[in-house]
Amino acid sequence: MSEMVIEIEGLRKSFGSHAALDGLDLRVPAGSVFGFLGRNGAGKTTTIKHLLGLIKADGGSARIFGETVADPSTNAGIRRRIGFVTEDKDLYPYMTVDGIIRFTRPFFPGWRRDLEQQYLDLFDLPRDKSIAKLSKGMRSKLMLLLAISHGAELLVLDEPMEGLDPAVVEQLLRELVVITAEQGTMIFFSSHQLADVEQIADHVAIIDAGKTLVCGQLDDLKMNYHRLSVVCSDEPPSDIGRLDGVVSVRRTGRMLSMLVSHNAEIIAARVQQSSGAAVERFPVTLKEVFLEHVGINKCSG
Amino acid sequence: MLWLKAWLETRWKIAYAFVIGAIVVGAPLWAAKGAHAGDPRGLIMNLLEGILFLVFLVPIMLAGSGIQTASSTRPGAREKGSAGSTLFTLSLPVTRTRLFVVRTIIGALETSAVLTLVLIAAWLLLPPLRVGAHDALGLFAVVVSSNLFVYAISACLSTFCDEGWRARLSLLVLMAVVILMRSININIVGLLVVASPLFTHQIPWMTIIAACVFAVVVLTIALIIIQKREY
Repeated sequence: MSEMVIEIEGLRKSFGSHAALDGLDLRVPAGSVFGFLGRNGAGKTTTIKHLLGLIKADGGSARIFGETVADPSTNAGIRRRIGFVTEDKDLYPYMTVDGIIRFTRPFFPGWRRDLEQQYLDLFDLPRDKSIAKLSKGMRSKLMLLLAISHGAELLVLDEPMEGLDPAVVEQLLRELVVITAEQGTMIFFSSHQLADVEQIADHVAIIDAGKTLVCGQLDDLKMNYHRLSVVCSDEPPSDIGRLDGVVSVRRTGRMLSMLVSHNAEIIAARVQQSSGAAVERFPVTLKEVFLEHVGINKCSG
Repeated sequence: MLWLKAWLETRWKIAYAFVIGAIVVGAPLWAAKGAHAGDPRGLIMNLLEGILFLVFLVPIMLAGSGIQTASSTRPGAREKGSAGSTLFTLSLPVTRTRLFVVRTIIGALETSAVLTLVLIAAWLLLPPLRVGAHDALGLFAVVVSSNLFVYAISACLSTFCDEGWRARLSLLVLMAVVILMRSININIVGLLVVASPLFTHQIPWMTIIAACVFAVVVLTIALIIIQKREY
């Protein structure tokens, strides 16, 4: 079993009567590019803020690099090994690009000037430009530059592609892949842009209402999840939704469609046996898995 | 580098503070110069009233920016409740204690520097104010300790208020604290005007110490709030 960089167990956090995290579990293996998926308000940013020590959980535990994040004495040390890109991409508007680089550099003894220059050139960031005059896309690039140049072992990116134009998204995604390959940097990024996640992530977790619904390797997920489709001449078995592995069942007229997370062959055989019709099996996309799990497509006939 | 951030955040406010200092202290002094030609007491009273105004205004202007205050590159972000650049600051490998201590020390030094320079300017420009070293030291000690007293209140409020609310609440809390302190004979306002060392020729050490202790207690409360605050 590979070493875990982030380990979260039963994390709970409420804001008033609203439970933002409701027993969240997460295990992020070393060396992974981890897509942290959920709808708006699912608890992604709350989880990230807890990992960075910005908020305190009501219960459960979280560790990064084996250190407890709730312990203020170790949290600054953890942050030295992490590069963080915030959702808002807000930096100090009274500094220039060069100013914020010079400000950030002394906090990180392992600062890489070669990477700093490389990404300034690659992202076309003028050193003398005021941060107040940078677009959101440019600020995203600058934050990424700051995170990469300090030699972070783990990049934590909160909705990194939010509000960016497709060209910038494509460039950032490409660079994230390069960073992982060349620097060995792990990436943990939250998003609800499923195509972006599918493009670069090798592990994913889907959360909703502060709970983990799915967590694992993206390839395993694609291999195990299937859509089963059958045209029923009679009523389908009434207990079909309760079979182990059935995520959702949808019926449109005589057409029965099921998303299954595992046991696809057993379930297909069971349905075929009771309906007498051939069951077709289709691969599914991450988008389908996401939508079915968070309930958007859930309905039964 | 945290000191540089603190300085960059408040440098323009310091410039404004100097301009206000020049107007608040300079104008009444200039107007009163002829009227009080034979009576330096009136001139001194005008100066002290100007300084009293500055002691209340400058710390409120300069306290607050830092880890606890949102600074956003997006217009209107603060109105939307965004944490702004605070999240970036807190993601740096620095403890909140260090962030707060550096920001507080820089702010207190800035406010003290503004007031000290105003005092020096008044001393240089107005010969009747060139009192003895003992009285000048007394006035300096009273002004700096009163400044710390006001600064601590405003800095504490900045741990949970945004800039606009901090300024308004600072004035309200200060009024309440000043009234409370008068009732227990620690009268900062009186020290800065009618009971000034320039008139009494005594340094009110007990009141100065009380103001400094009060500032330390309030700043400690502010630090506890910062440690517990969620962003």
